[in-house]
Amino acid sequence: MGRRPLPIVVVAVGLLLVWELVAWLYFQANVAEPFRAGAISGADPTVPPEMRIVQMKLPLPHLVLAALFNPDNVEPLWFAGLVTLRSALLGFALGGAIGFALAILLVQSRLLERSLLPYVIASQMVPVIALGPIVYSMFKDENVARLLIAAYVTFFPVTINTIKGLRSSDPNALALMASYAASRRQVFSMLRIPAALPYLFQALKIAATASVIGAIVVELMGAQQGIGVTILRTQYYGPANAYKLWGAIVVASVLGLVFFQAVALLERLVLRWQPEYRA
Amino acid sequence: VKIIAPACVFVTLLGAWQLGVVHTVLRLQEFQLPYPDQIVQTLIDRRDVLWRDAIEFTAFEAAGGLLIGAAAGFACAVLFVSVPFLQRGALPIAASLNSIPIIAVSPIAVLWLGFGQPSKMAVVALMTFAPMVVNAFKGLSSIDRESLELMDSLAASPRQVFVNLRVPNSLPYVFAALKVGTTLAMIGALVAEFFNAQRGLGVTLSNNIQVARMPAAWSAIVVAAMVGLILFAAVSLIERAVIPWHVSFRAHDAD
Repeated sequence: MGRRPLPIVVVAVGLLLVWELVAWLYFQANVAEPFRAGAISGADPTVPPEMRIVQMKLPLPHLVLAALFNPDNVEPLWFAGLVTLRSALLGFALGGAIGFALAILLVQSRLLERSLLPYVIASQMVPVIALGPIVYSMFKDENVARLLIAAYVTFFPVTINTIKGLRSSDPNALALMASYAASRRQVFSMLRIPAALPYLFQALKIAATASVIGAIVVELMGAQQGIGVTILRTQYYGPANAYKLWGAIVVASVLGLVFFQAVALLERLVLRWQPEYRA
Repeated sequence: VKIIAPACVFVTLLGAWQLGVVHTVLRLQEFQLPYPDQIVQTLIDRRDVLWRDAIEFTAFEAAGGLLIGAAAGFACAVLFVSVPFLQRGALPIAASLNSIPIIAVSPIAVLWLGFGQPSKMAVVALMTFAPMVVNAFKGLSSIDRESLELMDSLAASPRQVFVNLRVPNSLPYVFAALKVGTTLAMIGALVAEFFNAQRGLGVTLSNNIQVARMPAAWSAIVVAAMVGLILFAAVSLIERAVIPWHVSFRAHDAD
């Protein structure tokens, strides 16, 4: 999985070519001949609105790529992306640590789990977007707000999956440990936690991207810097910024992809004994 | 004991909130965080509108989008397991779909599908697709080697290995993805409504936050949380019915 990059490149290039072809056909079918140059630039006011919107709906990918590497866009796209990634990373670490600790705490007693788990789940139902204004009003700092929301969206999948993993130990192995009079602590560190690791990494991979999204959602509610801010601002300016908007979406996706791959790499290193990673 | 313990926690927390402990500790004002009795009053006064918004719009979009996204995700996982090239090439790409920020996609979904429920369903389906691909693939592929050798020694056809070994092995992972998916779906539907819709809980939330009517906004949050819990409970019930044999349920009985 991801060990050799060639197949990924082949599939990605294939998808891009299909997109380019479909977008080109869509453009040809929906934009009349005299308006084509104006519809590409998006700035020509004589182009009818339904034709100007075509590039916003399905842009030509080579023009999005050009926007990504346009020197004017380095700051609003790439620098903004790094600001978002930094908050997401810190929040991910914080939320992951809290989620793991909470899971270990909750499996200690059925009473604790029954009392608190419904609230762990319920807490996640509170939309991030509603918490934004409250977190802002408490800390008045976009970096703290971003970090907290990223932590908030990370801890839930980590808690749920770790609990599931801690409860998935092989009963025979548990019986064996018991027959050797292993202490509770030994059972945890030698059996239950290693058995929970595949579940934990599953959650971490989901959380890696969720924390990026969480940070972006916060930025959409009025931050000064970040890729979410770029997405929001380019949307306001409409079709003239179609490629910058899609470029920002691409940058946001790249952040998630890099983060996800980093966690997947760590998983492969830690879980060498899993069937799918054995030679 | 099953109900009493969470109920005790609930009453304690609610009491602390109502008596102003939460406000004092976090140094909040009433306009930032309303008191529970104000929220309950709003819930009672506006129950008809809230539930109609919840069922016809937000819950409908969340559940519909989740079903579409999960079905598409499982189908892709099956495809990736059967075609090793796609497994190496397309799985990381499918998984990375998860990182496309929904907010950015939702105005584009509106351009394509309009302001109604279909555009929200599309956003929810996109959000729930990737976790299902990742989990279903993991479940379909992390097969015990001995089971596989046993199936081989019994001359099982690839189809039989798939139906009798891979699919049952994937179910715990599939349900884990569905559970995460219910929360993602509710958040996706709400956030998509928050910015580009005419009706739904997200719209209620957005409109009331803008005019600082926090009890009304929180009543929408409470209803959204309830709908989310109902969806989650529904998935859990189905999970128990479908995979009662899983270790995690057996361990529950042993405790």
